[in-house]
Amino acid sequence: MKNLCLKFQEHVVFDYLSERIEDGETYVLLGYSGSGKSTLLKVISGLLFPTKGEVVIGGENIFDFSKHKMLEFHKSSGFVFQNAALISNLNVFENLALFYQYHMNMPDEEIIKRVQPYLDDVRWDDDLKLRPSMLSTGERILVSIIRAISHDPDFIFWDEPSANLDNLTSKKVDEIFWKLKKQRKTMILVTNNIQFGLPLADRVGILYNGKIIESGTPAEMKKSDNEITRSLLS
Amino acid sequence: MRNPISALIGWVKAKFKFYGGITALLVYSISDYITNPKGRKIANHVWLLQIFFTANMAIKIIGLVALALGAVTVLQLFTQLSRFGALGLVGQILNLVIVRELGPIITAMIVISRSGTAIAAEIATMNINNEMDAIEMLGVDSLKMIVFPRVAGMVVSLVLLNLFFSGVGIIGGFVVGNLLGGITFDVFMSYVIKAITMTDIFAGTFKAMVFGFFISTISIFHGFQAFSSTQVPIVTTKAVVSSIFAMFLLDIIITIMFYMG
Repeated sequence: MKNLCLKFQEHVVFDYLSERIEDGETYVLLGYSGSGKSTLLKVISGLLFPTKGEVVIGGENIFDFSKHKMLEFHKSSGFVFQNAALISNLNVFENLALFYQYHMNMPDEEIIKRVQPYLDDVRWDDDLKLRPSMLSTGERILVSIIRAISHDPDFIFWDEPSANLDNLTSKKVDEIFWKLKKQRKTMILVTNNIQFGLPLADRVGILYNGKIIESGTPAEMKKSDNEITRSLLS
Repeated sequence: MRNPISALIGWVKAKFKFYGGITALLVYSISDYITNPKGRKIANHVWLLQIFFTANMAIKIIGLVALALGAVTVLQLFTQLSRFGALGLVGQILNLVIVRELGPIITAMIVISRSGTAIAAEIATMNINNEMDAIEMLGVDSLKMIVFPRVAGMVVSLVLLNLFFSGVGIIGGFVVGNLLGGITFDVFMSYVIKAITMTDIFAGTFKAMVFGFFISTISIFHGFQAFSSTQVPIVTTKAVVSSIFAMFLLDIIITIMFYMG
């Protein structure tokens, strides 16, 4: 990220924000509520265009991508939304199948074969024909995670995946995260839950007043003198 | 108080932005569907579902309105025309009222109130719940999967519903003509067939098609402008008002194109 600026009318969200995230790294972004963490994740993933600045991946600024190139970038990415964002007029299976049907015209039996290991991982025992509105919050998040990772993306963006989850589901999410971390996926996690986020992080960044005010390994951050960092990590 | 010139410039700018956005949405979604085969199968599936929801679900109400309108038109005219021995004009008047003018307009009004509102509210809700972003993050073109099927579904539905409306309206007219004046089906149809030209059928179909393009795109465009749940009713109302305005404007333009040239 280079000199990212984002303004909504007169409100400055990011003010020349810069940060470097390495390939295969798990980067955890911390910040107070309303600091713009989720908005930053949308900018980094190319869902939201900044007023100014660049997000460079493989030497190219993603905001210079054509619509088709941006879709290709998204195809190689996964995004877990805080509210799961399952397509409400599709059932669980159709939500999971959308990627394969759209990009590969894959038959249902083949799709089931692809997603079944992930369903097993989360010990899914519900009907795949259920609509998202009939699922619990935890179940919706699990489906959303499978939808985001089952096509083996290179980049995964996580927006507060552990928020509002019960212990069991939280543990399942944690297991998936560790598995992906072992596969050296590049992951950016936005969270307020340091018990969940800190152990997973290779590096932690603190977002405050539209800037990353400090970043480093969890160990370095724990030793920080910065008041904001200390209050967020306490 | 704001300077009237700057207010006018602001209004013109806003209108340019609005119609520019609508045109871009329409052009991109259609051209991408035609030129890029990826995801076409899934778009076709959604397209069929849209035809089902828009056409099939509206057919009952449109049938009833058409029947009533055809019947009332002939009922109003019958006494006057029979007094002057001009019953043969029934066909021309039904053509003018139902096939050329009110058929496309009433069909479009019903579709705006049923499907235009549904589309605006659905897109708005999807936008607010990040569903559009979720679709894009799968590398799926939301314009192809969401916009194109709704536009194409409404165009096909409006064309079919308009033809259905005209057919049922004429039958409604016949029923009254038969009950009041004992006009036989053959005689009634000979008046109608003599009055309706291919231009009338083509103009009615063309109107329905253009209305379909604009009502759907306007509803979708307004749906995309919602960023919080409180905006859902606002964008839905705006979609209805803009669609009705556009429909009457287009009606005048198309009527001039076909009958004043």
